[in-house]
Amino acid sequence: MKKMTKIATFMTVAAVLLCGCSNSQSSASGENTTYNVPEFSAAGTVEDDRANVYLIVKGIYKDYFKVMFDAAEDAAKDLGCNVYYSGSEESSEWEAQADLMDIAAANGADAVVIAPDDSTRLAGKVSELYNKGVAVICVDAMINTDDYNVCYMTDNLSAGAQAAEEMLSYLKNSGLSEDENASIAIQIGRTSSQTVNERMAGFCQYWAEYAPAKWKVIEDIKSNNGDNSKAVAVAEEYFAEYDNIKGVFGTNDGATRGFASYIAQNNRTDVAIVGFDYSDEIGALINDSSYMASTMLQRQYDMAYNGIKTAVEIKNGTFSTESKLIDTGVIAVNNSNIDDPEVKLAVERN
Amino acid sequence: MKRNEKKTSLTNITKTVLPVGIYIVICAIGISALIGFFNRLIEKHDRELSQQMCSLITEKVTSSLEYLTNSAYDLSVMIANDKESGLDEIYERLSDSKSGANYTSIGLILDDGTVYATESEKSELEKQEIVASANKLGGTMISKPYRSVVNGQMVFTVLSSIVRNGNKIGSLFVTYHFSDIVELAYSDNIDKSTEVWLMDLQSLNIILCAGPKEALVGTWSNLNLDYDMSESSNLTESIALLRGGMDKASVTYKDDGETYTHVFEKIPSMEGWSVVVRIPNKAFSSTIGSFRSVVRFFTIGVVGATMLLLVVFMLRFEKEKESLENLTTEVIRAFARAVDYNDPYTAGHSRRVGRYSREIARRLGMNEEECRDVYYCGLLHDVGKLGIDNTIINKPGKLTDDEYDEIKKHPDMGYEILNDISLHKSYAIGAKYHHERVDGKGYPNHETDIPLVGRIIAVADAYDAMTSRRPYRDALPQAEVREQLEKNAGTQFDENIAGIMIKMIDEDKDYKMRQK
Repeated sequence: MKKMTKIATFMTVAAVLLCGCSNSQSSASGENTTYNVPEFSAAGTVEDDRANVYLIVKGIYKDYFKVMFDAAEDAAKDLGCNVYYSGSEESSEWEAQADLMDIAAANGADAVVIAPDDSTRLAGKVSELYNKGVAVICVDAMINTDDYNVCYMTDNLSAGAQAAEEMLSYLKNSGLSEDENASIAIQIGRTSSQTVNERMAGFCQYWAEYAPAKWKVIEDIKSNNGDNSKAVAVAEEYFAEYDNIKGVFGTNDGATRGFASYIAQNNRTDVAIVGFDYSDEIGALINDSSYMASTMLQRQYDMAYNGIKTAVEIKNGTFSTESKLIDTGVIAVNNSNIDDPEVKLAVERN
Repeated sequence: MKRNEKKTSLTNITKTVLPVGIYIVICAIGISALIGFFNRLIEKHDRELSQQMCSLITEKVTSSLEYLTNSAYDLSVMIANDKESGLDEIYERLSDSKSGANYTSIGLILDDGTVYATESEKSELEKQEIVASANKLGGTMISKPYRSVVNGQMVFTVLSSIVRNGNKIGSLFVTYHFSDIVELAYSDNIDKSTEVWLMDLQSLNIILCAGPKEALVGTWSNLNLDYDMSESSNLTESIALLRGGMDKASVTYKDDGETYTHVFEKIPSMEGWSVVVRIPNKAFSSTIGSFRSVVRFFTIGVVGATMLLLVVFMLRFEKEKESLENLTTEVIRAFARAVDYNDPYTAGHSRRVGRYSREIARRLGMNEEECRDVYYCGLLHDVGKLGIDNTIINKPGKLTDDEYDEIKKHPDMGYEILNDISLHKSYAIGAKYHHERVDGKGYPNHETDIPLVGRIIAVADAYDAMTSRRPYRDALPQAEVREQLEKNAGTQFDENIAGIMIKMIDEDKDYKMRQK
């Protein structure tokens, strides 16, 4: 076996074939969409006769997915496999992901680990690869076909329910009487996001089942439409319209930042905040014990690492599971556990 | 004269166009009323049909879910009655039945804590609190939908208690794909824009079972996110009714200009959950939309064709009427010429009297038709002379009293001749009264109550007589004619009409009126 070691930036076959090419095509709506297909980079060293795993994420510049690239580097080193990683530049560019899957297949991929941009539109391409014998492991989001091996993702319904449980715990511990009226405000990101909707539904479901009858979710659920700059304004609107808000829930990073900023600016230590993802805004509240603040962190590092590990196991014929969907769960980060090593690591990886 | 012709033509057009216009307006009102009525009828039909369709779909889904719980119940009864087999053996048989069945997992949850299921199923049943529900259960129930770790798809679990010798020992669980509900909810006959959801009444979480956005089928959302749930909203009222204990509620409302019907119905076996169906009412009217267009075009076509026929008919009628009038004029003129032919000294007299009379009538403010009748009266006023001996009429010298008496008979003779023209009695009147005087000294009947046409012709006749050459004298000078009229106004002549004639004389500076 001839061992070849190359510097990562020079060594991918895909890079030779498709160096930062751009592509354009018409979308279903008739709009002409242009997108770039970023070249694959190799994680660590590439050697012959090893499993070739291609990791494709959605939004290569996002911190959330950069963590997955870290996982790819670690997995390549730990598991002794060749890992190539790339992804769409924007999370809406599913066509770029489809092109990357074609490139991976053409380069002899044993497995593709993909965080699909669009669960429906990419289903056909995923099936095509799967039926060619390429193992497909989904991470972060599901794909609308059975033609994949396994999916590592957050069960967002459960994550939403866990957030509601965290919120309920804060309110109960704050001394709020069950006979007292209290309102919970929910701010969501893009309403078309299945992830966000499931977190919200999970939260509402848990709250309806377990919260005292007088502690109600405000039915006028507000959205910032994915525009983080509007998140603070949405929070202000809530507090201007309702005077007995005792808890706020942000379904995603932007919404959480908006609520956290408002609470910090107005020193609302009487309002519990539970959100998703880690940012300076929510981090500041969590680190200040006078606030009731938590955020739910996903384990995207684990998703990618385990996805690559599974790919290698499939290649080696050692993989078996009863479950096709593996919930990687969320970690509730709060003032009481912020110093735990596991939590610290999760925060670092976010 | 040209102005008169123009006015006549305008009057004719008005006469033709006016009824057509009225007809169009009546038709337009009628059609609008018809279309409005038809649309209201369709809207009512849509609303009722939407309600019925929503109810049918909700019944279909709830009945099908009921069927699943009944099947689980039947199986649990069979398990309870199978006292020969051990539970391990039963579970083995149940597991074997999975292949080819439409459920994804099946097993037993015993009240003593034992769970007959695969390891991943066990952890899932625990996580979804189905084990806890099974332990508390006394009967059958359906869990809330959840995403299965086994296959990654949305599923729901049916539970049914197993009761042996009057004691509950545990529950049977059967897990189905959520897509089974989708299949129950979906039908090729349902309009594609129809949405079917399952909804949790407390959280208002909704799961789409069928709808136009296929990619969202099986996904979760919340009613508050997708609809106006303010206090004034019709949906809020329906939710309040359901929360208040009603099993079913429905509402019809407008959203972005479209009318929708929403029906909510509780699912008896799925506590807290309801089936929700939403149909745009136009889904039904679209099927008869083309029929509506055909009716509309047919109605407009029929009205248009009728209108065209009416116009053609009116134009033809007008043309025939004009021909008839021309014929009448020609006949009357022929009569007038026959009268004038008898008396060479008064040649053209009838035509001129007709003309002067018409002008007087016009100046009196009569309309075109009345002026024309007065003209004909003028032409025919001396028709009675046809019954007088020509030797008397053409006698060059002075008439004897007898001869004059004979001449005086011509108004009554004219009346006799013309009285049979039933449509135009005024012709006879004109002939009868044209020699009567307002002071009662005229002939033949010394009438003082003289019809207007008689008074007009009397003045016109006198003017023409005075301005005509007679065997026994020349035509009188204009000034003398004027003087005579002025002098006899109020005695021989109607004062007003004499005044009009005098004005006409005054306007006739060159004394040419007679020659026209």
